[in-house]
Parts: sequence; structure tokens; C-alpha cells
Amino acid sequence: MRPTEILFPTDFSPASEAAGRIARAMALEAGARLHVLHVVPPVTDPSQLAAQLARAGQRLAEGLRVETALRTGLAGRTIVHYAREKGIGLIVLGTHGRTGFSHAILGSVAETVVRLAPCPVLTVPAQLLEPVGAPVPAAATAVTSARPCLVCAKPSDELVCEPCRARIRGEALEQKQEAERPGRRGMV
Amino acid sequence: MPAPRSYRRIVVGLDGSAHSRRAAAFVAWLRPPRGGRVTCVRVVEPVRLPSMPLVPAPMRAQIAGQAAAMDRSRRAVAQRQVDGAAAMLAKAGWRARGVVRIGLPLPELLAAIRAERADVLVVGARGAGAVTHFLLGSVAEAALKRSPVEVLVVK
Repeated sequence: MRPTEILFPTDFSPASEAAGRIARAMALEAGARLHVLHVVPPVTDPSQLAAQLARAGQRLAEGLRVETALRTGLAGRTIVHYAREKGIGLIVLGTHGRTGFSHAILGSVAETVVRLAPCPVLTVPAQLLEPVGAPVPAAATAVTSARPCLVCAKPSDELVCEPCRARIRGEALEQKQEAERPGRRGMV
Repeated sequence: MPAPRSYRRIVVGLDGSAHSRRAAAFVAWLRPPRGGRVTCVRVVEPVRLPSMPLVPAPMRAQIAGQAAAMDRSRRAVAQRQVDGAAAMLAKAGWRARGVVRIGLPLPELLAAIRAERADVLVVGARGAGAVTHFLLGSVAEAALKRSPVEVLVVK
């Protein structure tokens, strides 16, 4: 039951920072090795990510055996694959806690992992960050603001920048209007 | 779990399945912090009878009586089970108790989280009725989406 290998997949977002703290605590408790994994989406420039991952690993490393890994692929499946390969006993994962439309397009990594993982999965919702009141380390803030928008990859403070959000909303509305146009009811 | 102080209060959702037993076992593995408290919750869905407008009253009463008996026995089984899990956790050093709630599983689990002001919800990946959801039960999945707190899904 006691996991000897704990996996903390990170996307360097504040949501995964919270998960990282808990993963660290879990690893200390169990005397387990902590694996810090970042999955690079298929078409991304990975040149800066290695350094970022190393920093993330160092922040968690005190008093722990930490192993960092950079993999390329679709996040959910790659995480599960890594977990199988390394005999991971517990995955600690941050969730962005999106619902509805944006959940459908973005928030499904945690779901894939929970569904397919060979081991227990602890999901840490993003909102845990705020009430703690602990100052976010400067490095973390810098990381967040430099983060590229998920859709257009331009730098943005948010996960999906405003223009892209507007576009996604617009497309959804168009589809909805198209689907619900009078006279089309019952047609596929 | 001494380090993150968020793990003082734990709600474990049980449903009698092997996965949910493992969920309780996982909690037993964590070292209880000072004041660490676990509530083992099992939600029992009440037996719902169809409306029986054309059934003669005596028969209706008999059916209702049988439904009530079924409810009672289910509740007793559930209580035994949560008490058993609580005893196991108490042995591991947690202050544990078993609670049976009546209603729909997910709303009752969320209500239990609020009532206990829990920091983490622990559930098994698949429940007793997992024929259709073969990798992840509907309750676990919905809890992931709707829970205000951390969710640990144990396989």
C-alpha cells in the first residue's frame, strides 16, 4: 500500500504549485522518491522547459530524492504511461477546476489520468491556493506571467488569452445558433 | 500526514466495493496529525416505489412495508460497514466514526464534506454499480468535478 514512488506531473501553473507542496509532503511522509514530470505538448519549443523543470525539481528537493523527467506527447496518456513505466504508487495532480465548455476543451488531463492510472490519484483543485495566504514565491509569479496562451502561444497572464477566449466563445455561439436554427430541428 | 495541515479532516466515501475498502486502507496508512479526524460515509439510496394507483390498498401497504424493511436492512448493513471501517482507522490512530446518510450518493457526499468541513475526500475509483463505467465510477468522476476540496481516487 505504501507508495515508494510518487509522481507529480506539473504544467508550471499555480494550480500545480499547490499539488507540488502536497506531493512533497506525501513523499516525505512515505520516504518515497518524488518524480517531477513535465509533458511537452507535441508542437512546442521545449528549449526553455528543461531549465524550468529543473528549477521546479529543486524547489521540492529538500530532504527528498527527486527525479525530473521531460516527455513529449499528449499530457494525460503520457503521464499514465510514465506511471506504469516507473511503477508509481501515487500520482498527485493539480486540476484547474474548469467546468462546462472550457472543461470540455481543456480540463480533461486530470480526468484521463484518474481514469487510466494504475495507482491512486490525488487531485488538488486550484482554489486551494488562495485561502492559504502564503506569498507566492517570486519565481513562481514570473513563470505564470511568462506563460504562453494555450491556444495562440502568445505570452499571456491567463491560461487562454482574451482574444482567443472571445474567439472560442464566438465559435461556440455560432455552432449553437446553427444547431438551434428554426426549421432544422430533428435533423442531424 | 503531518506536513500539509490541510489533512486534518478526511471524509471517506464507502460503498461496499473492493475499491472503497482500499480507499479506507489508504487513509489508514497516512500518519494521523494531532486532531486528525476521519468520517466514513456510506450513502444509502432509499427504495423508491412506483406510484400504484390501481393496486388495492392492502397490497399497496404490504409492498410499502417490504420496501421499508429493505430500507432498514440496507441501512443496518451500511452502518455495520462504516463502523467496521471506522474501527480499522481508529486502530491506525485516527479519531474515526461511521455515518450513514440517506439520499443520492454525490449530493450526500458533498453535504458530508461541508458538514465535516473536510479537507480531502477519499473515494474508490469504481463502486458497486460499475458495470457501465468500467474505469471510473460515476460518483468518483462527478466528485472530481464538483468537490470543493481535494479528491483522492484510490484504485
